[in-house]
Parts: sequence; structure tokens; C-alpha cells
Amino acid sequence: MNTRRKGGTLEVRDISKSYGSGRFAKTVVDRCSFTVEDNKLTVMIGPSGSGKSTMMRLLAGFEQPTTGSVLLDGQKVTKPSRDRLVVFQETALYPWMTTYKNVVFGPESQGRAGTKLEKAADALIERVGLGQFRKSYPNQLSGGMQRRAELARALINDPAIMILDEPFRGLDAMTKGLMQEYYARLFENSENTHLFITTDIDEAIFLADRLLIMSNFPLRLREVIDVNLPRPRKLADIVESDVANQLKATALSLLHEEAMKSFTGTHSMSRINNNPGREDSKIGA
Amino acid sequence: MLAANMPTSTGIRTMRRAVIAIVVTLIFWEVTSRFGEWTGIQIPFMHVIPPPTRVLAAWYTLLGDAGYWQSWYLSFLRVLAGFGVAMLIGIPFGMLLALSRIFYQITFPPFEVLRPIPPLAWVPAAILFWPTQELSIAFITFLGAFYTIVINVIGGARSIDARYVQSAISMGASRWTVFRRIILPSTLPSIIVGAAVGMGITWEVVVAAEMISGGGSSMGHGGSGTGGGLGFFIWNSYTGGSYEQIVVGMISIGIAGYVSSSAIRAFGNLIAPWLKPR
Amino acid sequence: MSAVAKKIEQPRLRGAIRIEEAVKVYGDPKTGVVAVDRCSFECPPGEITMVVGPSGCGKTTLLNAIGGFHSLTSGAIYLDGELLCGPGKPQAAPGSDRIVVFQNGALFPWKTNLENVIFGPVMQGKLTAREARDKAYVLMSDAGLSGIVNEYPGQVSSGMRRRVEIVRALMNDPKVLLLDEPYRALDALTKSVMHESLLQTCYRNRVTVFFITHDLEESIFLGDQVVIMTSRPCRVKKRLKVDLPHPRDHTTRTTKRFRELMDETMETVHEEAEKAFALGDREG
Repeated sequence: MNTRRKGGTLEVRDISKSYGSGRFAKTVVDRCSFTVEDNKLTVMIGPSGSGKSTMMRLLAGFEQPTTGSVLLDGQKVTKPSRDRLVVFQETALYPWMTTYKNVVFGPESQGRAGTKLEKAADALIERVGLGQFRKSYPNQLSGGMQRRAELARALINDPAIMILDEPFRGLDAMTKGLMQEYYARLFENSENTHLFITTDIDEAIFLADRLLIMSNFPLRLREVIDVNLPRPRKLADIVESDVANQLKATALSLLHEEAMKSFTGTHSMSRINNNPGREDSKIGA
Repeated sequence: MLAANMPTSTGIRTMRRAVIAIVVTLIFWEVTSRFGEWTGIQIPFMHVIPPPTRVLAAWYTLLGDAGYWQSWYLSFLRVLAGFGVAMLIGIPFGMLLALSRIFYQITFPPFEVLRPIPPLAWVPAAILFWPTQELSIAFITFLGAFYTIVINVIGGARSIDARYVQSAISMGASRWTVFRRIILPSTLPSIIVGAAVGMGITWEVVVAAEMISGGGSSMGHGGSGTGGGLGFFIWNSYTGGSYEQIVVGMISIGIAGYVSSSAIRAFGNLIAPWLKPR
Repeated sequence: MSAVAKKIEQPRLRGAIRIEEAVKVYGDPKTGVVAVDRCSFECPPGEITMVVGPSGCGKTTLLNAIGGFHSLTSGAIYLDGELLCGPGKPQAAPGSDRIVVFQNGALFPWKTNLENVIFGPVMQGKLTAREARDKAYVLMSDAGLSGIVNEYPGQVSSGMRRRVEIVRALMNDPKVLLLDEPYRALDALTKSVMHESLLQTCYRNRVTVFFITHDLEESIFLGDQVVIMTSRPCRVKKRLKVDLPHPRDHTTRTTKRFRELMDETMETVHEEAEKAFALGDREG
């Protein structure tokens, strides 16, 4: 039986995350509260190394908060599930599986099989423009194509919440622009709730219905800004829009202030994270 | 971008240099080896080594000798036996060590204590312990490959990107599915590396094991002291005084080891097509 | 500010670069790959010249020619009126008056940041260790790096490493700073902070800067002049003066004039980026 979820509301209540104890305790996320609204694209933006990826892991359920809770439609979430799927910053496509196999992995793990699944998968693969690359391996795909395959892999499970952690970082400028518009279109035609994490203010304003401006490490919510630009959105329109520019000016000032905190190296986070925002964890660590 | 369009003269130049280097070495070998014959002045050290031309002649003769080929066969047999068992036991063992903390805490300490003991040091113990000579030799080759395979498997399983597992669990995969479809394939490259390196070690070990244990088998009779595996062949050639055959034996083993490792790597590429660069 | 004070304040501007009909062909002059095709432009002394274009178009070749690491097939480059390379002298000699800061950074990981910074001048015998250290402390503190002076490069963020490298370059009092996409790998926000820091450094040092990038916003923000190159083979497609007032900071990015400039140049840059994209080159 397939109950079709139509998005959901993710509520974050006073959430904190610390590592270590006593004198060595390090607080990475410090009492954040916000709501990711149903069917909206919420963008979380903050400086590198601020702890956004830790927040992502808390929301996805890969880690547990030290205090506070995460609620999906009022229910507390404690572990990873299909409701909240993540598209990571660097590709997490399984290198030993083809595009098709990657995309059907989720449903197959749930026990689904057969022609119905195959049709659904193929349709989705076509939709993300990878019809020709159904049987290709990830290392045969360009960066942009890999991202699209990952979007397909997540979307086929119809998650209530899609969490994307700087997914377009590292793409070349041309591809990035294309992917941003493509993704905006994908969101506008879907019914899931999206949370998009980034450090790029132009990207953030282009995509967001609501902007969450985060502080530097430890992570706190600095400001919430609603972005009421009309949809469907095109990059060219945003560039010309005075409203968007004003939003950018406001957000940029706040973000700069926060980013400058790690400027001199006395800020603790600049010591820890050499590649802020990267997922470097290994299971054996 | 531009480098792709640059002429391959660098490649050709490198190749040419390599060929010249080898040819010069061979000439040097031939000349220093034969110098005594030609001029009466013996070059120290080099004059006891047979010149390449004589080695090749000896080799040519051996190619027709059934016993020589039987040496190959026997060594290969022992290598495959030891290597095969090392893979069969080593891979699951390594995976268990990587994935189960308890198992690791119990089993790794004794494993690590035994590991520094070189396989060859086990020879007398193996002879005493195992009922037949073949089994003793196979045991030594097993040890050679086993440690390498286990260490590589542990390393491979440990360095799996956590996000693969996290995303799989998010999408609802059971623990067994995660193991079968994520962890195993992810560890495959390390298994292949461990196997290729282990195979090389196995060859080193089998030769010495044969030399030490006098690996003649009841099956072997051919002429010229052949018949007990390549290691034994070399040793026998030494004691029998056919120095050309020593060199032939050495080169034969080198080839055997290289071919085996390459076969494993080729096999690895076959079963892991995703590892080939774009 | 009195006239005398103003005069004292203004250091003599040096490092004027003039590129005349520079051509670079790899391989056979007739059939090889043309990387640079008759480029001509000038970099005024003490100013920041941004060279924008898609990757692989030959910008780096020009930079390397100025630096003395590549030869030119034909054409000439002058520094403060003197010939750097040209007919009869196809390759300039590298020198401490023209320092390159590369994309991927080349700090010695086994030396602390301070040791890295003083390495060049001390090794060349230009400064004693003590003099170098004193100078380094000043420069690093200007760049906001005094907190990490004794850390190792591996212990600090990549943005910081970049800044250390720039300080290291400045230790040599170069006439020209040659930057080859130094901020390419940084995220947008860190980049923005780096930009402000670089401008502050330039306001203090008035060194001539030759900065290669593919990022248009970066070039308008930093540049006094922007030179837009075509895709390979590279030629000058467009030059413009950026008349935004100094000192600039992040608020400049959202001013009207900034957006106008972006508007004027965006299409030109995109056109070339698309051509390069079609050829399979990627930038960013």
C-alpha cells in the first residue's frame, strides 16, 4: 500500500547539539528553533563551518540532538526514515550501481518490485533528463548529471521532506545556473517540503520562499526573512528584480557580519574544520 | 585541456629510454660475466653469474623438459591452494573485524600478536604440525596471503563513506540489505588490492617454503633436478651446480608472480566495472 | 589632508604591464594549438586588472608569460617600460618583482604559517630572519592573521591559507601580484570576505594586480579594470573601466551601479562561457 504523502511540516524546537563532555564539551548547534513549512522551499544560509551540516544530520536523524526535538507533523523524529531524505553536497550515488539501480534502490529495499516500479523509475529518470544514461555508472556522469540522478533517487520515495545540503557547490558556473533553475522547476511541480542549505546568497534568494539566516559557529538562528517573489522563477528575473536586490543587501550584511567572526582565527571553529561543510565521516571512525 | 593535444613525444621518449636502459643492463651483464673468458681477467662478483646468453640457452632447453613445467604446476598449485583458502577465510574474517566491535576486541589482539611473525618462520612449526609436506607448504602460503587480505579488508570496510550507509538506512534498507548491497560492494576495491598484493606475497613465500622444506613431491621426476616446484628447482640447481638454471628459475618465478597479480587485477576490473576512470 | 601629507602617503606606483600582440602556440607553429591569439592590453600600475574568461582559454598562459614560466610564440610584454619577453627573448626570467599565487596553494605543510611567509626572503638572503619576522608580523596582522601565525597550514581553513599565501607574496615587495583563480574553490560567503580582505591589502600596498577569474561578480567587485577574454584561442573581447568608488565593501555588490555593470557584461561573458561549455571545458 502506498500512502502518498503530500509534504509535511518540520518543526525544530530549541535544538542543541554538543560533543564531548565537561571541560571539553563543544556546542555545535545552540538552541535553534524554526519551522520548515509545508510545501514550501526553505533555505538555510550561513557561513562555512557554522554547523549547518550538523543541523542537517539532526534533521535527517543520523544524529540525535543533545536537547530539544525535531517534529514532523507533530510527531517526534528519532531516526532516519523515508520521510526525510538527504541529497548531500558531494555525490553519494552508489558507484557500483547504474543510474537505474541507484534510483530503484529505495523502493527495492522496501520490498517493491515489478513492472510498475520499473515504469515509475524510468519515468522519473526521463523527467530528470537522464533517459540516455539509465545504464551508466556514476563515474560516467558529469557533476550536474550526478546531482540529477540523486534527486531522482530521493524523489522516487516521495519523501515528505527533501533536505539538500549545498548540492550545487563545486559545479561549474554554467551547470550550477542550469541546475538551480531546473531544481526550482522540480520543486514548483512537486508537493514535498524542501529544505535547502547553502552559502551562496544569490542561490538562496533565487530558490527560497523563506530564508533562515544562521550565525557563525555555534549555530544559532539569526534572522528569518520571507521571500515573496513570484513563481515560477527564472534566474534572469531575479537578477533584475529590485526587491530581490534589497533582500540580498539585507541578508548579505548579516551574513558578512557572521562570516567575519571566523576571520582572525581566534574563533574556535576555524581550527577544527579545514574543509568546512564537507562530509568526511567514515563508518569506522 | 591543452595537454591532451600535446604531442606524445614524451611518451615515446620515456619508452625509448626504458628500452635503452634494459638493453644497456643486459649488455653490461653479458660483458662483465664473460670478461674472464675473453681476457683472463675476472671481474669480481660478476664472473660467477652466468651471462644472459647462456641463461637463455639453458632456458630454451628446459622448455622441452616436462619436469620444468611440472615445477610450475606444483608451485601454482600450492599458491592457489594457500591463496584460495586465505581469501575464503580472510574476507569474512576481515569484514567481521571491521563491523563488529566486540569481535574486534576479542580477536584482533591475538591476530596482531601473530602477524609480525614472518610466514617463513612458521616453516618448522608447520612441518611438525601438518601431516603432509604439501599441507605444510600450503599453510605457509596461506599465512602469506591471509594477513594482507585481512588488513586490506578491514581498511576497506572501515573507510566506507558513512553517507552511503546513512542514505541507505534513510531509504528503508534493512541491516542485511545494507551489508549485502552497500558494504560488500564498497569493500570490493580493497579486497581486490589485498588479493593482488597477497598473491605477490604468496609467490615469495612458496618459493622459500619449497627451498627450505625440500619440496620435492613424490610426483616429480624430470631430468636436471626438476620436479618439486620452482623454489625447489632453484635450490636444486644451486646444489647441483647448474647456475644458468638458477637464473632461469628466478626469472620464471618473477613471471609467475607478475602474471598471477595481473590476472587478479584484471579479474578485479571485470567484476568492478565502476572503478574504471571515465 | 594637506598637499604634503598626501604626497607622502602616495607611494610611487609601479608595475605597469603592457601586453602587445601576444601569441602562444603549443606544438608546431602552423598546426599546433593556439592558446593565445594576438592579445593586447595594459594594466595600469597600482590598479587591479581582472582578466575574465572561461577556463582553458589561455589566460593562465598569459599570466605565466608575465611570471616568466612560459614563453611567448610572438608578441611582447613590457613591465614599467622594460621588455620582459618579446622578440629575441621569448621567455622572461622569473623574478621576485612578479609573484604568482596559484589556485591550489603551495604552502609547505611542514612549516608554520609564519615560517612559510619568511621562507623566500630569508632563503634568498634579502632579509635576515629577524627582519623577515618583523615584517611578516606586520603584514600578517594587517591581514587579520595574527591569531594563526604559529599554526600549520593544515590546521587553518582554506580561506586563511589563501591569505597567508598573499602575505607571503607581499613579503617580496613585488611590483606585480599575479593571481590565478585563487578563490575558485571557496564557497560564496568566504569568497566575499576574502574579497574585502584583498581590497584592504591593496589599499595598503598599491601593488599592481593581475587577477584571473571566471567569476564575473568577483571581477567587477575587485577590479579597476575588467578585461573579458574570448574562449580558446583567447583574444580580448571587451575591456571596461569599473567606476565604482573606493573603498568598496560587500554593500557595493547591491548598489545600482554594480548591477548596471553586471548587466552590461553578463551577456558577453555568458556567450563565451557557453562556447567553452560546448567544447567541453568547465569552470567553477
